[in-house]
Order: sequence, then C-alpha cells, then structure tokens
Amino acid sequence: MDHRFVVAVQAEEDESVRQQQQHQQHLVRERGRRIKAAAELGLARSSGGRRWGRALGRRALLLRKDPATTAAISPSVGSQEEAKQGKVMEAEAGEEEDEEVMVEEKVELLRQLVPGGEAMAVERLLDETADYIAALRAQVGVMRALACLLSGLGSTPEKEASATLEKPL
Amino acid sequence: MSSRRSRSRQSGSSRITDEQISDLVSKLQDLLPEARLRSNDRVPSSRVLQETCNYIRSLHREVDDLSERLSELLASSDMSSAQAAIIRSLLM
Repeated sequence: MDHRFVVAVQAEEDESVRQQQQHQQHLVRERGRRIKAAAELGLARSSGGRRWGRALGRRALLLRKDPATTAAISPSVGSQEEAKQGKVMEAEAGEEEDEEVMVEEKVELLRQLVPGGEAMAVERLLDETADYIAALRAQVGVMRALACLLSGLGSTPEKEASATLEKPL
Repeated sequence: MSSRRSRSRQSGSSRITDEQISDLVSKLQDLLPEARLRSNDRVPSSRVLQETCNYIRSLHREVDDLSERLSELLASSDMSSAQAAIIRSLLM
C-alpha cells in the first residue's frame, strides 16, 4: 500500500476521533447544565413558598428554555461575583474602619447571592438567607448521595445494581 | 444620626435598628460551619456576613461540581430505564 495513502487515512481517523471526543465533552457539559437546572428547580419547589424559592424557580425555568441566558443571569459564575465584589470594595476602601459601612457592603454582596435578594428589605434578606443556606446544604447532600450511588453502579455487575435499586420497600 | 444611616436603614414603613440587624446576623452565625468562625469570641457583623457570602459561594461551587460529576457518571453508567426513572424521580 502507498505510504502517503496510509498517512492520509490515519490523519483523517485521528481528526474524526478528536471531533468525537470534543462532541462527547460538549454533551457531558450540556447534560451537566441540565442536571444543575433540574436540581435548582427541585430546590425551589422544596422552599415552601419562600421568596428565594420563587425567584430561583423563575430563574431555573429560564435556564431550561434558553441556555444562552445562563451566562447573563447565573450568579454562580465565580469570576462575575468576584469582579462585582472587587468593585464594591474599591469604592469603599477609604472607609474600612467604619463597621456600619462594612455591614452595608456585605449586605449588598449577600443580595447578589440569594435569589430575589435585590428586592428585599434587610431583615427579610437575612431571614431568607438562613433558609436558603439550609436548603442548599440539603441539595448538596442529595447530589452527593446520588453520585455515590451512581459510582457504585458503574463498578458492580448490572444484575447486582438493579437488585439494589429495585428492592421492594 | 447621619443621613447615610437613615437612608440605608429604611424598609417601607418601619426603620430597622442596628441592634435588630445584630440579632439577625448572630442567628446567621449559628448556621456557619464551625471551621469558618470561632463563636466564642465576639465577631463583628461584617465578618459574619462576609463568611456567610463565602459559604454560599462554596455551596454553589459544590453544586456545580456535583452536577458535572453526575453528568459524567450518567454518561458512563450502564443503566436500565427503570433505574433511570428512579434517579429522575429523586432529582425532581
């Protein structure tokens, strides 16, 4: 067989593998986003009518419909939050000794972190924050348990795994 | 009273006092994991609020990481449709 022919075919195969890998990674990321949106929706529903819950629910539904809005409205993008915090701190740097001003700054940060926080009075914001933190912890707990469960499934034979999940209660 | 204080503390019809804020903030302090704040010392409200923000951000990051991890696990696991239905019902 002609050597150049072999090289050409090999190059095409490599490129095809690379594209498949990229596609796979893209699928995984997309699925991750959908999982996160589902988890946020679940969290919002379990909030018992709380304001942060309703605000989070609205946001989660938006994310589901149009992933392009994720970048614009998601508060969990680390660099966006840090940039905002940087701006607030620069503006108030001269008055660091004033505890009252510091408290104001931190309240503003909190407003951006708690869904719906921008529209709330301070006392309500603090109350909502407490509830929101408790719910976030529960969410993390459920997701961790699921991850444990799923990584167990990956390593055990199919039969054992299905027996574990479908055991009658 | 400084003008800044009266502007920032208004909340509709009632004005919230610094004491009320301190009370609410100390309740938040109890929610933070012990590693973040030693609660035997008197901690200023601003510090408690900062730690609260840090804690919420770290919880958000954990949710992001776990979402990605779950996505990868679902991609690689060998699962029947019955098992997938159970997982779905846990998440929703």
